[in-house]
Amino acid sequence: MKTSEIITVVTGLPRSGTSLMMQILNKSNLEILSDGVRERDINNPEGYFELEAVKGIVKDNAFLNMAVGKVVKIVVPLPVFLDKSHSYRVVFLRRDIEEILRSQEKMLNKDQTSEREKFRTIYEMHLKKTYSFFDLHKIPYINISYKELISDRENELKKIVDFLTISTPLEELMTAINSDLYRNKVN
Amino acid sequence: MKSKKNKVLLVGWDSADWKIIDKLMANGLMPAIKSIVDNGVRGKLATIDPPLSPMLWTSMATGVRPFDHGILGFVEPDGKGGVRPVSSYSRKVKAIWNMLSIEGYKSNVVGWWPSNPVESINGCMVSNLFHQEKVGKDIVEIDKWKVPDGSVYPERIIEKLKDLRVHPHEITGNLIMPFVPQAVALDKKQDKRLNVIAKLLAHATTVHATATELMITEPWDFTAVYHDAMDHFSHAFMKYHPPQMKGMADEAYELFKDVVIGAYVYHDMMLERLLKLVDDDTTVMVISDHGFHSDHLRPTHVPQVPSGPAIEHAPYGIIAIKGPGIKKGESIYGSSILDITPTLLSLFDLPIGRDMVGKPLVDIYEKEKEIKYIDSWESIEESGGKIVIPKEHDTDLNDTALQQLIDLGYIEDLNSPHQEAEDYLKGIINENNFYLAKSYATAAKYEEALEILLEIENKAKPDFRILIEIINCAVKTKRFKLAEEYLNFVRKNKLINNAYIDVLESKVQLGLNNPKIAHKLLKSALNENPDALEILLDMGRLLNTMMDSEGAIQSFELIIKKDPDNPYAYHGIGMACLQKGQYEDAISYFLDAIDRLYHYPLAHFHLGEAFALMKMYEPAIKSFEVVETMTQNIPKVYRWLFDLYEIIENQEKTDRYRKLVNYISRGQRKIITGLATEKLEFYIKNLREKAITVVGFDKHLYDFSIDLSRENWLDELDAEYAFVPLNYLPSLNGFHSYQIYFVESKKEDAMKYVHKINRLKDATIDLGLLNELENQVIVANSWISQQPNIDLIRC
Repeated sequence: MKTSEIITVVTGLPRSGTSLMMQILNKSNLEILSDGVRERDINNPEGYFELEAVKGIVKDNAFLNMAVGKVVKIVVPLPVFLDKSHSYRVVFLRRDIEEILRSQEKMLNKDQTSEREKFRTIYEMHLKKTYSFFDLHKIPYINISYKELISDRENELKKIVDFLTISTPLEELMTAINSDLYRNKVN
Repeated sequence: MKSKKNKVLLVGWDSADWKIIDKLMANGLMPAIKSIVDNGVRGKLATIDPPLSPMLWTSMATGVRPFDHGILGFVEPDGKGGVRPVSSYSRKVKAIWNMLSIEGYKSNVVGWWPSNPVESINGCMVSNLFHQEKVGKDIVEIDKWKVPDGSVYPERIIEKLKDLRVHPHEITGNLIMPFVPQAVALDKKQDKRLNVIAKLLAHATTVHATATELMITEPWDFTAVYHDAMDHFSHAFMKYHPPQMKGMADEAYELFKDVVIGAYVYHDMMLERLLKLVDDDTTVMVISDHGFHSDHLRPTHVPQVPSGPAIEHAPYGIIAIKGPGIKKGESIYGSSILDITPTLLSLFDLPIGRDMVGKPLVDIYEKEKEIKYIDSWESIEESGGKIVIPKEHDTDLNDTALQQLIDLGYIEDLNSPHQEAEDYLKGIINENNFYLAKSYATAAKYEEALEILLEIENKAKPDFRILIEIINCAVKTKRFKLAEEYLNFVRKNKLINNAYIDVLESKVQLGLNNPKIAHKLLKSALNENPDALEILLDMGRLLNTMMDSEGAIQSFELIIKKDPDNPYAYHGIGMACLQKGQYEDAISYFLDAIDRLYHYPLAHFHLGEAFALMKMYEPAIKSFEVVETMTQNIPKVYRWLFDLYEIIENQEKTDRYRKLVNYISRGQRKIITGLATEKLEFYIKNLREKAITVVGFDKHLYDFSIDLSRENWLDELDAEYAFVPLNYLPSLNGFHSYQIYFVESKKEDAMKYVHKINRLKDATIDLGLLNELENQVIVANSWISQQPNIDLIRC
């Protein structure tokens, strides 16, 4: 199948590096589908690259027709509402859940330490459900570690380039990664 | 058009209970049901959790659990920002009347809850809202009383049915006198309880009149009549039922003590009439969805939570069947409400869906019955009846029927501004999701239940029922940190009493393999609530885990003394007998448990193990195969079946189960275990020196490096061997097979090892510790000997 007929989905839990991945892919030859409604802020200085319509995917997934041949960000667990009549390939961002929780707390400016296990469990379940969906519908995906993307960006980016058959030079893609942004890491 | 020679009449009495019926039959007050019992079979019908009528009667009519049939609770969102009484729109699967319609049989269905709007079945259908006499909070006068749209199919029968309806205003004091002998002296306007009786009598009489009319004037193969009145009578008046409850005023007791008896007798009179309308070739089945506590088990107060009245329900309803080919004067055991549809299908010689959870009650038949199966009735394209009003048009009935549910105390009143209405709707959705989660948990689908519970839980508006269920599901899925997080919240906010917190914490501690702490907590909870059956049950189970079989039996026997039908207590004693190697006794107790609750996979599983250990291979196989039909959550079943078929040399089945074992198997793991001693430490260090990877401890054998309480640690094991302390062996799951290297040591050496770590002198003798260590070895050996997936190598 031609790349122009496939929807490329960037997914992962919120704060797992999905926006960073969109920034990287924005440097590539792939076309991004976003609407700029959510503006850049201190938590994502380079921007989120989101599409507002994705939030309504449960009731209406018609926006996917516009995403054919493009890259769209759909955070976990929303990919389970993908329209099965399209073809997909998925870049799945993975990050230590502890780091995700800390990052979310910081973003929300809220101490959720007394609810860490609740959110950890919900996120684990969402991940499981999303992977099961991809497996069930034979949707190809690649796991990309946020940590590796920062610490070993060349190798991690190579994986993405191979998976998505990107023609843009690696050096160009690497410029999107600013390791200063890797905060909230678990030592 | 097919026509069945032997018709089937199904009568549903919501909440009917043998405890009351038996007394009334003995006094000659219920001759109709007695004639069925004497000339047919009788049994208890186990309910399912949560015991809420619309969910249960839909399970009765479909053979599947609520998470499959879609009916959840008493009300549902109407899709337009409001709520409506739970309706036939929400049912996701075919009901028995659809299956019969597909096969060309004619049905009359009257009053089923929920059945509004009705469906265009092959026959007649009158919904549970046909007899509603209210618009909002107001009662409509008789001359303005319309037949609600969508409550009757086909329309041609409306004319002959509408005047059969009895309005509550037609129920005079004289008619109430059999229930309340002093009714005439009471002021009906002042005492609302008389109005309740009038309303329930009117409803029951309407249902009865409709059913008899259809039975007489319409051709039918199957008639189903459902009465909700007995349940409503019981909720309103069981507190006055003899013996007089503590705190009940004498005057009120004297006035209303006969109401429940009156309700039962009235239902029997209606049944008597129905029996006169059928011939000897008709099979008659009377059922109830749950029982109702009428004795010392009556709760002293009803919790002020949605569906709180359900606390008065008892876990067993009734089933009585008579007809051609049905045994006479016998009892049947182990029936569940899920078995009704499969049994009805078997009466019509129709196939049972393999996707149904229930089973046909083959024990009712005099001769062996051939049972046919299909994969699913859902894969048949024909619907067998479509809902007569398209979803978007259903609006008129909502207020009326909602008010009925508010009057009955099942849902809260809503008379508030817009924002509160939104909160109310959200609350309804959450409530239904809570029932959905409970339905999953009852089927041992804890993961699914937990996911829903975590989504609906709101710490700003804590609901202790949801929080307790989260803790229970977290324990069941071995998420102990999650359970502790919620325990801390519950404790900090004082949402439940301390004794119950102790009980919940004991479950967590047991999961974390701290049985002594768990025991202490349960003991303290029992001190505060010595008669609490649930705590006694937990205590019995814990003592079984701690190999204190005698103590466990004592706890379970106390339960049986108070509640002779408690299946879990019988199962518990069976487990104690199994541990003691008293297999015959164990079998007897497991059978006792199954007699009381057939849908009890663990009881069947342990029955199978007891048979297998007695080398009674055929019954063992039968038991494990029953488990296989009930759940896929006990992977050891497949290993047992593989082993057993290999023993009896059934090659075909051996191959089948080998494939299944391989399919579910997550591979073999090598485990090193034994009492913690220098010998064991040396054994492992020796392996490590040979560059063989062994994980499980760091500095010494008590310095664990793996969190063994995590559910999937075995999946992530990245080493050739794992050290697992003896007392953690039972946490090894059934998805792997194991080579266990049991390094045998003396308990005295194990004591010295503990002393060395604690820097105590070698000579210190701790008898308690020695006992504990000895116990660990006994428990481990006993556990290993009962596992089908272990190769044991003693070193």
